[in-house]
Amino acid sequence: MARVELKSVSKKFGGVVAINDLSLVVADGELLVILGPSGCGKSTALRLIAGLDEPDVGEITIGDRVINDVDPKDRNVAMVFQSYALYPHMSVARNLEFPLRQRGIDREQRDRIVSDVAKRLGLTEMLARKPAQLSGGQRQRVALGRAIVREPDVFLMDEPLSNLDAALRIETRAEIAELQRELATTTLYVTHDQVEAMTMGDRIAIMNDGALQQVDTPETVYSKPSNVFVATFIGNPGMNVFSGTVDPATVSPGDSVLELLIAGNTLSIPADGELIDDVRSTLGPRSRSTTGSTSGSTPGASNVLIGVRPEDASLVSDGGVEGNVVIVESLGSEAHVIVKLHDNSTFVVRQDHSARRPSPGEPVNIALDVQRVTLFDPETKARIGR
Amino acid sequence: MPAENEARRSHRRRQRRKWVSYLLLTVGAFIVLFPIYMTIVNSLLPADLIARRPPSLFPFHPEWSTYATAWSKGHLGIYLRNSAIETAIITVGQLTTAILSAYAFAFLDFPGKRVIFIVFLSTMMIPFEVTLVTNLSTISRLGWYNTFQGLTVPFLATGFGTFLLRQAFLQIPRDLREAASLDGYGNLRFMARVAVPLARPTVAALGVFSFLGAWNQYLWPLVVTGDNNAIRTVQIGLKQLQATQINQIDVTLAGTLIATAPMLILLIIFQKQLIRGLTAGAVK
Amino acid sequence: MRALGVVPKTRRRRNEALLGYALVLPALVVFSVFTFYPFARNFKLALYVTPPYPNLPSRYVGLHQVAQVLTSSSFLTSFETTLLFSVMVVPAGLLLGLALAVAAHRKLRGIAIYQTIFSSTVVTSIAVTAVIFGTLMNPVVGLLPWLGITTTPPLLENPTWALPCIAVLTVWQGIGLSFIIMSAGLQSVPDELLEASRVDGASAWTTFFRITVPLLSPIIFFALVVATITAFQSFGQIDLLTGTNSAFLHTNVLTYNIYQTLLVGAGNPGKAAILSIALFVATMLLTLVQIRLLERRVHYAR
Repeated sequence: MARVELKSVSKKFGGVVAINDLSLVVADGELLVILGPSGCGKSTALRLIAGLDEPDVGEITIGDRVINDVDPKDRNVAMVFQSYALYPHMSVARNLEFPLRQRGIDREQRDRIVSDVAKRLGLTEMLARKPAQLSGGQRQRVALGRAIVREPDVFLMDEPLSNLDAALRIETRAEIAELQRELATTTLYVTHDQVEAMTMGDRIAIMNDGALQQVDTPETVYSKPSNVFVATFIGNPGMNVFSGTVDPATVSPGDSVLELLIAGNTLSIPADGELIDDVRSTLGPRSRSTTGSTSGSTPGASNVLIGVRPEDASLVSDGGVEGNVVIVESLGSEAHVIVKLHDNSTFVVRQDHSARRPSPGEPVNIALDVQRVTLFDPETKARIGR
Repeated sequence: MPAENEARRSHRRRQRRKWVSYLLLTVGAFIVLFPIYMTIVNSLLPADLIARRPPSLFPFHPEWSTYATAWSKGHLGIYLRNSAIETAIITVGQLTTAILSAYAFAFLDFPGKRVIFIVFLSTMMIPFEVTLVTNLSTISRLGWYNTFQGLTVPFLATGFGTFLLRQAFLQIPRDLREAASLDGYGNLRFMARVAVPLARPTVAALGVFSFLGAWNQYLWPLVVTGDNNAIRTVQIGLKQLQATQINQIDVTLAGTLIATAPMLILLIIFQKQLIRGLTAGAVK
Repeated sequence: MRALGVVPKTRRRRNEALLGYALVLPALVVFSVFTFYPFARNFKLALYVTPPYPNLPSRYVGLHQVAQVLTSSSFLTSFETTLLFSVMVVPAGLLLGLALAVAAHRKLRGIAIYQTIFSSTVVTSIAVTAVIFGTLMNPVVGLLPWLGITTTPPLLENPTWALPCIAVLTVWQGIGLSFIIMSAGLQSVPDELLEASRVDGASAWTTFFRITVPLLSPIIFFALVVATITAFQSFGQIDLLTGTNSAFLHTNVLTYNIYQTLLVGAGNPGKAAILSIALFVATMLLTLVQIRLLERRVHYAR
């Protein structure tokens, strides 16, 4: 059926790398969200699948067909553009009908399809109107309708909600997800909005600088980010990542605790044998060369990046990591306490509504949920273990 | 009550300014309309009254027969038809070639595009008068002397119009072209179904502009039409009317008004498009 | 086995390019045959004496002919006449157009009627205008005898008055275009600027000369170039009114001179070609100014 696969695809525009060695499989019927900051290459990936741009190297397949050299119109994909790309001189009905006119479908059947789709999307009353007479949400639905009338193998959606206001966006994203599930059409959905990605995607592919960072379910991407970029990009605010040290020499196989040194405070985290092995193999060989080079670290210790989600930290009266409150951002139901640690790095703690709000300048102690600490290799920025 | 006085004075000043404006406007209207009015009057006066001094400023006993005379003796029916054919060919031809080439410049990619576009633009710098010498011999070598081909073919392309339409096409979002190509629309269909309908205001402005230019042409129809009436346009017909009806000024003037009537109707219907076409180069 | 619709990238590129060439081809053919070829051929013709009858060989005379034409009193007179004519026609036409545009740029009752009237001369062709004014300048039924003035020779045959008379009707015919362009320009001047100036206490005169005219300057300049080019190409009014009479030499502008040289009497394509090149050079200089101006406008708008 319509499984989409990209194999080692790269694309440059001029000298600028838009996509670098991207390999990705979208299962039949799946809704895969491609998420990333602007300029990360996510829209380019979509345009390569649509055939609006051509890859420099690599292979793209839809179903069991290699489509690199297939004309866009013969790929049987439908795209929803960020701008909606509605034809301003045509009525809604004519816009919806436009993709059908090229396919030798007779008038009667066209009318039937259009009225079915219009009913499904609540556009029946608007069929005679021009796009300029519609609200943003209605325009968006016409664009969606134009994609589904063709019953394509693949939907490609390029930031389809970014022109809607916040309330409408929440409503529409649920509608699109529901529609996609109903139609069970393979869908690639590009967005820079992580909430959209988390709520809609069966899986999320996160891209940065033209390279794929991680593909996984929303839960996994959140709880087990594959690297520092994903950790800090996902979540609002993102994961706190700060440096600390661990002495691989002090951990031996069979230990169940890992001792970390953070801004002068020691933190013990429970570890299974696998993590211990990973830490030893990742940091061990390097420890000798970096020994003593970092001030404040004990001889023989290695730097490590430590990641903690804001909700996995809390303010306590003593112990933990020390710092001073910079500002407290209250969002009503919760608050973000921004703390400056003694090594000048910033740490955000998320408090629920019941917690006491500290005042700016106040010295605080941060306790970390040791069960939920993530470690990253400071050189490759990749997650260690687990 | 100084405030009230002040208000009254400012009101009076505004009133005065309004009347000054109307005075100026009326003087302008007089300058434009007087020659046309006198033409209408003279065309309707009996011959002996035209030369009477003091002159008659109103035709109390209009003689409509001058119009019939001008129509029949001046062969205006044929000439108007010829002008209409000439103008239609040039207008449709210019629009067609300009739409096709402007589409290529705006939407397609091909080696040498920039150079070819500059070539198109450079035609605006060569007035037709400059090419008269050779064009006349080209037309006779093609055997097109005194034919509609000879009259119209040299004007079937327009650099200015191509430039104008290209600008209009470039305003069309790229997304529309891409969406249409995913839906299976090739370039020609996209041009016909989307690009041209969306550029309609510019197409209309260019059409009216071409129409006006073609209808009012003088030099080329003069040199390329022969002695018979086969393709003589109404502008050249006026010259002939003036020469043959030398003692009947009223008939010539009637002919002049007949020749202008179609354009006047055009102005009244298409004033907006005409103004767009005429100012396209000056104001964005 | 190849799947349906497979078109290699290179072939798709080539198809697009071929379509591009096909679409520009019709216009390009017309331009080649009727613009560039005759334009280039002028430079060759300029060096030859071409007999008026076909099939006789042309005789090469080289630059000698060019020098002869360019120093001939016929060319110099007609060049001078063209310039003089432009000076009579262009400023008067622009000022009249600007004045009417300013007068009509007010929200007054019935203003649309005035605007239509002022625009209307764009549809009166040069032939029509010439006939209308030829009558008004007629020694028997015209305006002067009406006012009791007689001139000998009559206005349009008078060496002194023929050119100014032609200029008057040319200005009249240009009112429409000039008015339309100036009106469009005035509409592009933001009302807030004029209101700001009024609030700052400036008088109507000051506002006009300090705000409106400077903001309008690119358009005035554009209209100037267009009007000058049009004046340089004037032909029909001369052909209809003075072409055959005794004042002809005093109204023999360049374009008319080309026509005369080419078609009246024996006809001399070589000399006509030289005159054509002269007309082109003069026009090109003006057009270059125009392109410069359009570029500046674009920057100004951004």
